[in-house]
Amino acid sequence: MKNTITLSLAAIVMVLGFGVTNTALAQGGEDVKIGYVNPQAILANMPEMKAVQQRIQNFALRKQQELVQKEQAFQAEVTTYQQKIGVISAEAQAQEEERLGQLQAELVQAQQTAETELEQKRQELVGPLLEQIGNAINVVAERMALTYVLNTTTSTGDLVILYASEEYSAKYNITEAVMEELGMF
Amino acid sequence: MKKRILLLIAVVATFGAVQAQVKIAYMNPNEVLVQLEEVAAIDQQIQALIAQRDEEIIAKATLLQQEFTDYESERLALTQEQQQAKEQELLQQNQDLESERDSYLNEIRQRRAQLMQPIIERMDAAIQKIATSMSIDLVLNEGTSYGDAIVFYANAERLNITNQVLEELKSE
Repeated sequence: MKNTITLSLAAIVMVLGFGVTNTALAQGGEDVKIGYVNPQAILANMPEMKAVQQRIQNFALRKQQELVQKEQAFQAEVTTYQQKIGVISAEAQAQEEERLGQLQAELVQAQQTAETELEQKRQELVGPLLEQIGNAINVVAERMALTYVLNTTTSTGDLVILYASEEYSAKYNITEAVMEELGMF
Repeated sequence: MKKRILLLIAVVATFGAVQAQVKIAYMNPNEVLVQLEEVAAIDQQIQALIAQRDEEIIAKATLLQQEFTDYESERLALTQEQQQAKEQELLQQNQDLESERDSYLNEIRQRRAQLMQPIIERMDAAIQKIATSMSIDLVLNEGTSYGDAIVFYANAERLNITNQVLEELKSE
């Protein structure tokens, strides 16, 4: 009987020992906890997003109208030139063509600038929302003591995480928790 | 003696529970898809569709090209108003041709996605089956469809379940 108790005690010590070792390992970063989140889904559902999209659309429309005007102005110049092509000197023709070439290059440049501006506008408007999402992810991750939080989907629509078991998803898909943290429910 | 065994089991169980970690595998879905006969058949169908529509558009483009050439040679015989009207018309036709091509390419892309959908669903089911049988928690994509790596390195080939998923799909 005494023997058994001694053995039991030894076993208890072993259990405790293992527990301690594992806790130590966990604190040392061995017990990796990986969460994941779909920020695009959160972004699309944010109440601010409607207004942001409207503003981006308005901006794009305005830029497009500017470009169409520039293009029409250029086309008019080309037509004017074509009409007088037979009556002006070869020298004047060359000059005029160079000027038109310059105008065309400016037009292409303006198109590129408009694209860059649109991208900047998007970043300027969506950026703060993404930052809010990022902060909420940090809060949730710290609360759950996660080691990593992965993104589920790339901006081109490719999946990063192809599968998560139901049990795992219930615990570690933090998309809804982040939305809650943002006060979206 | 019985107690000792029980305690031993308790020790092992505790150890096991604490030790339970996330089990992560990875795979390459594109590698699976290109090896499926159904996908090859779909791609053949899609290619044929594109070739057919391209032929139509090339015929139209050739006709338009001829119109441009004809106009160039008769331009000086036309009044300025006629010239402008003709140019406008030709440019419009050219633009229509471009948007026609864009729209059917878009249409064909959608058609492909539609045809692929049931296969993707079957692949997802196969991934789930393999993952469940191997007690895997997460399956990562090895890389994006644009060729960017997501998983650069894995220290064991058995973490790559691409072949198992392929075999599962082929055995269905």
